[in-house]
Amino acid sequence: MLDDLRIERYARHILLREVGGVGQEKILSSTVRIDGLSEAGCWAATYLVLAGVGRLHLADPRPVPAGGLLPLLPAAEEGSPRDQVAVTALASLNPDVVSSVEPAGPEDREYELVRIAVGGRDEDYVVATGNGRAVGGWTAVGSPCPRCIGDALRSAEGVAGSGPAPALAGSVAASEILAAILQPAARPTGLRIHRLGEAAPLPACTHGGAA
Amino acid sequence: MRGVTEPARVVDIRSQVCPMTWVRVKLGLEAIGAGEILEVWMRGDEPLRNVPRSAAGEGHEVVLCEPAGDGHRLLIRKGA
Repeated sequence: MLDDLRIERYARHILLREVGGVGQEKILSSTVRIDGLSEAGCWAATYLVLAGVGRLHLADPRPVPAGGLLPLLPAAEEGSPRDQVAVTALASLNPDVVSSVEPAGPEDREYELVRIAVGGRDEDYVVATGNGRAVGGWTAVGSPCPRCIGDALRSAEGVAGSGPAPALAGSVAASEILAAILQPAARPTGLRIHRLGEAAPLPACTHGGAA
Repeated sequence: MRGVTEPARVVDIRSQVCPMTWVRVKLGLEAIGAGEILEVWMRGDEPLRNVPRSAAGEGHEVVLCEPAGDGHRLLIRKGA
């Protein structure tokens, strides 16, 4: 049951028809893993912590690049492991969330890892699960075009003022994870699940970009 | 078995302000079964205006809204 403090903290979530008190309890009891703290991954982690995901496991020992990455990895932490810096930054956002550094690599994970495709390369993905349930990937049909988003994310890596694409991708990833936690049987149509190891090619660009 | 308007639960939001008024009522509705009655005690114009409207908007039935004490008493039947 939600105590008074949490009712106050999550009041605006509870107001949402899709969440309510029962949904917020599900979010608080869930575990999410994110592999890959590109800027999109950092945004996804931030949104999930603010949503109240109970446990957040982060795996990305790559060094923080020069200039840092919004919104979690400051330039002053250049060279430090991304996951460790992110855990420290996230601790101040929500006292209900326990975030931790996990070993990189999905091979030995108990989680059902699913790729949120925001590009075709390993360094540009967000991987997560919610309570062991599959999380949807980028839409394979229509917009936003996953190739264009992926290119935008790759060009944005490490560039100050990189624009809204990583934040958008992180927002979509976090939304998909929350939808999977709240309504696993009512997934939005048109979303495609990319499992790790699956050689699922991205669809052709619908905006005249590279195929 | 409860009577047709006997509440399964009572929520007092007389000390609450928006948005906590509807938040507390919504949590009260989540705690009872479909078809059961939630009794709400409220005070002031804001909840009188918004709580019945929000309840109806989420598929519940406002059975009664009457002046009581220094505020109003509301009976809401939870929808399916």
